[in-house]
Amino acid sequence: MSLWVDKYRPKSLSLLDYHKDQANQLKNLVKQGDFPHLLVYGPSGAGKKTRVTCLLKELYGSGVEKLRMESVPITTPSGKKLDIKTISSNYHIEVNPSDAGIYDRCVVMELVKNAAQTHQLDPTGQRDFKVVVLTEVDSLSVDAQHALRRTMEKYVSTCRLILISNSTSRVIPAIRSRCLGVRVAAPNQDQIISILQMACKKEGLTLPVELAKKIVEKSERNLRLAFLMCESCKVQETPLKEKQEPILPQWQVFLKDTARSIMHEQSPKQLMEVRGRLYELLSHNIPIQIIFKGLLKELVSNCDIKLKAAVVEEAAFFEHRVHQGSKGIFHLEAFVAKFMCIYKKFMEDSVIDMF
Amino acid sequence: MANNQKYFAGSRKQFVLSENWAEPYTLDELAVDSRKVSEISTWLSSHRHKGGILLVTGPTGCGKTAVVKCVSRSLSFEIREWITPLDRDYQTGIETGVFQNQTEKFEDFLYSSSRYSNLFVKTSNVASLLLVEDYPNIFLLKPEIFHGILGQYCKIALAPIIFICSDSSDKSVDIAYELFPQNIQRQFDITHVSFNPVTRTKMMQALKRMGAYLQSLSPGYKLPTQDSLNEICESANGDVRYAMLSLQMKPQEDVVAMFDFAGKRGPSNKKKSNFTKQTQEDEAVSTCGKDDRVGLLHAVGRVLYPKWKAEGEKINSSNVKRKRKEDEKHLDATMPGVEWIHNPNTLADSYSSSAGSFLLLVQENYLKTYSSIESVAAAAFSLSLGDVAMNSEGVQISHEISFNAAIRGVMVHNKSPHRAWNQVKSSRCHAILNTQKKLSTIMETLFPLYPVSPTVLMTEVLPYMYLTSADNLSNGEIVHLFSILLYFKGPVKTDKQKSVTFSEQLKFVKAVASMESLTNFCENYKTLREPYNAQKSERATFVLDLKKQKIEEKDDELHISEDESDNEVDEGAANLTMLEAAMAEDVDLDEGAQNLSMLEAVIEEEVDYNALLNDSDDDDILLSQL
Repeated sequence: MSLWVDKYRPKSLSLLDYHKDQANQLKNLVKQGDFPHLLVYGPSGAGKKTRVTCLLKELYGSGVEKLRMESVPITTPSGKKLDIKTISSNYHIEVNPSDAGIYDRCVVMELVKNAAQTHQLDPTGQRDFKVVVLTEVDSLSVDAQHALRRTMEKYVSTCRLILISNSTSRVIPAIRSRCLGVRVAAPNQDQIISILQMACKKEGLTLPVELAKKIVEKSERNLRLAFLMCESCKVQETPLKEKQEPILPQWQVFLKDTARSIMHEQSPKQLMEVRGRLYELLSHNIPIQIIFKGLLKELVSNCDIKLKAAVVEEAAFFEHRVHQGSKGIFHLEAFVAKFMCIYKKFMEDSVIDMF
Repeated sequence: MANNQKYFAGSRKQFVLSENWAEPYTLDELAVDSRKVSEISTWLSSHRHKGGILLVTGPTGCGKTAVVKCVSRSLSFEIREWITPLDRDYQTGIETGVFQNQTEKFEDFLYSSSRYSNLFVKTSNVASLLLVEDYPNIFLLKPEIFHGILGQYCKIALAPIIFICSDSSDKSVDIAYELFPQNIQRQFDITHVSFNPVTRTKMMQALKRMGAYLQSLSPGYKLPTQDSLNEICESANGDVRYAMLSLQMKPQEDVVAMFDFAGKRGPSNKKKSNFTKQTQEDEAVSTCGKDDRVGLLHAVGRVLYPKWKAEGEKINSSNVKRKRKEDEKHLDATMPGVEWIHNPNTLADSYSSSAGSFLLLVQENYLKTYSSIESVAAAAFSLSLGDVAMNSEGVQISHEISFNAAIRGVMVHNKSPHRAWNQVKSSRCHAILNTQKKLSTIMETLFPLYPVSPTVLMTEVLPYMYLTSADNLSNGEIVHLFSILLYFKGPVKTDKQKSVTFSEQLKFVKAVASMESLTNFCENYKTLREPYNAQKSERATFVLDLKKQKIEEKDDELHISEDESDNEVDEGAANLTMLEAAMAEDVDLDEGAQNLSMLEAVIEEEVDYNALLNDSDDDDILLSQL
């Protein structure tokens, strides 16, 4: 058995459910034979990876589905040895360069070089280039991106890159201009509902529109999340009912509770407790940026309109510091303390105003 | 200058010049507690001509070596000291054809010196005594070699041996701790004498004796004033060797006058030269003073409970911030001064090498000493600033300055430290990093090809995967992963569906016990099944261990026959590290609310910390009284 999100993942470009024009364009691109580097970007859960997988299949046929996992040993200039996990078929290789941390530069260069230097065994009837798929280009360091720029040009005859990122803002212009940008927008509400309903039909269920709407809202148009929520709704109660509430992941509930406890009391003691909870979230591998975002969303939604701007500003300030510094919890805690401070002052002022 | 020359030229048996500083010669000149001295002398006299090991520890310069030397002299022992050879002696090696490494040489030393007496000593009633103060480096790396040699020595020894180790604040470089752990001390019947820092009275006596001696050498020598003696005592921190040295090196009036003269010749006015004189005197005693480096936890305590001498009115924090130790005197006139009892500059200076861990400790503990959230916000801000500044890539801000700013912020904003008994806890940062790593390794092995990034997998897919496929889970590691994933400490408002109860976990385990075929979450990638099957047996072991644990913990309805489990446990043993780690986690998770998993490793240390912190408080009180 597998999750619905995997089960109903389209396997070829013609089966894609939305952005069909784009799918056709990609098809034409493949037919044309002059395949450029691609930069696929769009929000999380919009189907970027699915689209790329379909595209690869269109390029190379079903042979591309035979995947194997390899760990490629790479030696950095400083002599450190790294093992990078790659997923590859005969025709393509996929890497998440953020695994390499600060050594992403040489990892990217090495891998592209390796892929480019080995030619296809049988060029007749096949493409004369291989594809390197780099996921999470957002987190690629600027250094690595510059290195990539040169490598891209050098091996263009034997190798194409497909870069996947959430937004182009962290991709340097030099790379953006060398790639064909493909934006995969998040599906809209109707699309998600129809996709979910179709999946439910295949499972022998009917999905009430009300529930579907709730799912869309909670998942923030993230199709992957929508699928997961839908399936969890099924487990919760079958047949699906209109009144059902989609379940949020445990950590989100926990984060919301944390935000509530920040609003509830503002004191060093409370901060201590909050810190414990933040540690708890961190130790569950929830990235600190996501914690920041979730916390801010909760806090802002609960506080007065006058405070919102100030709170968001503080959050932005400390989130930036997380990137600059090395110990995330310092900044997260400083933000919470600052918020408590602002909020407490506001509450006290409003109490004074009442009299 | 003249005095010094005279001193160095002079010779008297009481002050051996080759030692470069005045060492006491007779027992009553020792500045050490007489009980410790008698302890050593009784031990020595009872070990004449037979083997025995004595370990002497104490802070630097508290007279350990001096005591041993004096006592052995009075009991007519001949000291044979081990000096680690600097390098391999190739010349002799070539001549004799024997190359020895340090270990062999040390062994040789122990053997021959304890057996053969010195040919040049005529009297026969001199017993030999081996002294080791200098340890070959290899022993520090591999204590077991050293222990082996000790064992050898115990069997053949004909002379006692004394090991001298200096205490150190850091356990990792503490020789006594590394080389002589408790069990070794018991095994070889090692007597342990631990010295305390030299007391003030004793040190004063020693200083006066030294002064008198210096005067006897050169009549022109002016005895130092009581004030400067006090100052030396203060700065020496119980280090008598240092006190002696600084007394010897303390410039006399006329020496300073010479510098003064040089100053006068320049274009400067009189006022300035007065100032230079003052600072020179100052520096002579105080700034080249012994680094009064306190233990890490003492220092953290000083940051958490800042103390200052407030004169007159309340402290203005911006004034405090501007304050620097060096211009204290100048600022005093302009602002009603605040004087740190423990200046952040000094703390920052002495801990800049371990700034990271220092800040972590401060961060973990500062909240408890604060009373208002506003000041906490300010302190947290400066901590975060410190962290950023220390990691800044573009503009290189001095590491020390950023560290200074961070702890200064914490100190300044704490207007009235909340004084209560608080445990100093070590930071959870590293523990959390480890947990994160562990989790990602588990995830990587379980879902190697799942086509989403690890973050998404963690935050989106896995929480739902548990909900949707709980009944079909048949993989111990996955169960384990979920139990970690979904187990949040602290109160969470949950409904039944979301929380993993113990009975649910049991349900998983039961499902696993039936050993159905592995659920494959990556059905799209069928080629990948082989590696999973290979791991199957390992998982079986894991699961059985899991089951055992559970049975031990709570007597349950879960029954497995002993034989079955035993058989299978024998089967696989690999992949131990991961399983062990996983198991450790699991126990905690099952235990419930106790938040031990992070702190487990730390608990032991914490006990030490508490003890130390108490000490530090005492010290603080003492200091303020002084």
